[in-house]
Amino acid sequence: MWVFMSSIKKNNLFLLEEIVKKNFSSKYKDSVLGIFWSILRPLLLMLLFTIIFSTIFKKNIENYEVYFLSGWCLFIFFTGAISVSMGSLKANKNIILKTPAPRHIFVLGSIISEFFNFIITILLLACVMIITHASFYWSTIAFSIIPIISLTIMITGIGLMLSVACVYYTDIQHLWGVVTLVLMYGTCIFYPIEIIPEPYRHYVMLNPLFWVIDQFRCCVFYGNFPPMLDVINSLLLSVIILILGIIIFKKYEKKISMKF
Amino acid sequence: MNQKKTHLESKKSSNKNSNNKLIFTQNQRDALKSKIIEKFGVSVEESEKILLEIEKKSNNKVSTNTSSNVDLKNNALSKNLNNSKRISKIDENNVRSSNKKRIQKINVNPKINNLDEENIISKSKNNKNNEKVKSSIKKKGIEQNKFTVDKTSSSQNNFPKKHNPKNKNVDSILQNIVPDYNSQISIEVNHVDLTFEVQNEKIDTLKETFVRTLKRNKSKKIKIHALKDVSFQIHKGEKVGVIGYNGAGKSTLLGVITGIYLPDKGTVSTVGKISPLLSLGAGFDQNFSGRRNIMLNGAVLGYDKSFLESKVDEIIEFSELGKFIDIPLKNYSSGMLAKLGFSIATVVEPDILIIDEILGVGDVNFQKKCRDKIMSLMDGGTTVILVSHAIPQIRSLCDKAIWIDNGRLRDMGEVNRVCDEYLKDAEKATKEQLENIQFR
Repeated sequence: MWVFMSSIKKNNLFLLEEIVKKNFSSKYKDSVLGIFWSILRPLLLMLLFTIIFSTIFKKNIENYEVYFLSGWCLFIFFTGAISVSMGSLKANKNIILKTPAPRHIFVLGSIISEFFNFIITILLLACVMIITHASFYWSTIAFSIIPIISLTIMITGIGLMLSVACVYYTDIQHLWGVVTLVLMYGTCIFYPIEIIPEPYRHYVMLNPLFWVIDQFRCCVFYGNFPPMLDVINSLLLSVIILILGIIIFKKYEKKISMKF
Repeated sequence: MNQKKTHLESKKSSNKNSNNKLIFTQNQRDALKSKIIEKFGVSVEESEKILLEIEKKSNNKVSTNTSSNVDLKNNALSKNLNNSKRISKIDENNVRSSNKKRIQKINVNPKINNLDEENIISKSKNNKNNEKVKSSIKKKGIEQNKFTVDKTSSSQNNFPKKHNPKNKNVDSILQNIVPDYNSQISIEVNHVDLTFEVQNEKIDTLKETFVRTLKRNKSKKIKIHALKDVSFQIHKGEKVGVIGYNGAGKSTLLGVITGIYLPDKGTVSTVGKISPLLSLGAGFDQNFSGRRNIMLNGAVLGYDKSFLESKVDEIIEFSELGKFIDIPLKNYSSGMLAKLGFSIATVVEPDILIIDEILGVGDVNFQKKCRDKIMSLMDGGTTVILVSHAIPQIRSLCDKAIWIDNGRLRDMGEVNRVCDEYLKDAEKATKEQLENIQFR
């Protein structure tokens, strides 16, 4: 795990810290509400989706607000972190062309700053749960950390891969916008899995993001432990993606400065 | 064994002379001379003179044991000055203060004489028994070895390569004689090749790539061979100037040394902390205040957090920004930005300093400050690599020069010699161009 080994070096840690601070504060720069947009955006979306869909899915979902938000938090973390880390190398072009600062720090920095945003949305989820009198299943909520970990590992792997690919082909960034939309409809964020007809349900099941969101909802929303096999599967897949990402990133890392 | 015998013979001969003189054997002399020539880039005669100087001084020391060190030094200094004056008559422009500096470095190390005396004493005791002498030498081990120079190595190599392990002996001899002499390598560049792939029209969209692969009219990639088999070594404390025409690969070379580019072939190894003064203000964020940007830029340059925090006040003071330091960077003038960048970049005391053109940043006062700061950074044991088109500047600041021509290492050696060659070549090139124009 060279990425983590070398970021343990004191100076790199300092660089990581500064990059995270920079990313975090520049995300909502020049906006009046600033960091509050991290809360406001999912909240507004939640209201919108609740107004439109809550009556339709009343039969399947009793607390639509929490159902939607628990999926949305993870989903927006996934797509947001990847799209930011994709552009992180290009955004820091002037640093990369002038200093030998380790390149993976920029990718990791953007993922970590998105993770802080994610924590804010999780806090929002907790607030909404309190307001809507949802029941807290304390024994399983603690377990929800595992799907979050596997999601973060997956994001790091994909982020490393796509950040390099983006240096070579800019339009991956635009393509990602389409992928985001497809994922949003394909990941059961605002509808229950039951509405998909049986022959197609297996295809939705192939989506690893759906695995993670499903496990997270199991812990937080339904209050039961997700099947152990699923948890191990998704963890394993995430690790494989991470290793692949590291291999690809390491291979092209030094060529980046010559490609700009 | 052979070595030691020759060594003994040399000692014996010196004993026979019975003046307690330190005289090198012919082999040692040859090796030393070539070493001096290589290190200082002087001519053969000059190296002879320097060698004689060394011998004289050491003999003085032995014969007049009572005379104080200071006297000796003064003596040597005046001699050297005379010497350098003599040389300067030959070529006033070339051999200048740098030469004087160089010769001043050559001081006699008392170790040599002490060892010599001990040796002689031991020899007189065991005159008939050679074996015992050998064992006594063995005890002294490494230090004795410094004086034995392998016959074959010195006779073969008039200009010995530094890699040759046999020549380590010469290194250590010089180390004893010249206190400042340091054989520690600080930058080593080994057969470095670097190619940039450039396309005629930049294709960075997927569609373009697909369409062109289907149509099979991919525009050919142009390969720019920026560096071709460049290899050299820079020792600790050396000030090296890099010269060459525009587009010869000077900046690429600096990029390779700092680690921005990875060479296709070959290796680059550096020892110590590198401070590249190529990257003023890399990573500045326009929305942050100057103070925040100090931390950000410092982190990008690889500084320590605690170190940077302790130096913030110094940076602010040096940058002369005063109250502007707490204002967002987007309101700075370009001069202020450059001042801040320079102040952050030069706050460290690096082992290796890399400069791409001496920076004249800011107003007149600050430019002078910049220059002073760079000079102070260049002092001492810092290894300096300076890229500049100002040949006089390189002559005055550097000991050695590297001439890069068309991606190749054309020449490396004493600064004045290389600069002369370079200027000569440049003159020739322009003449050729002029002639071509006339013929048309």
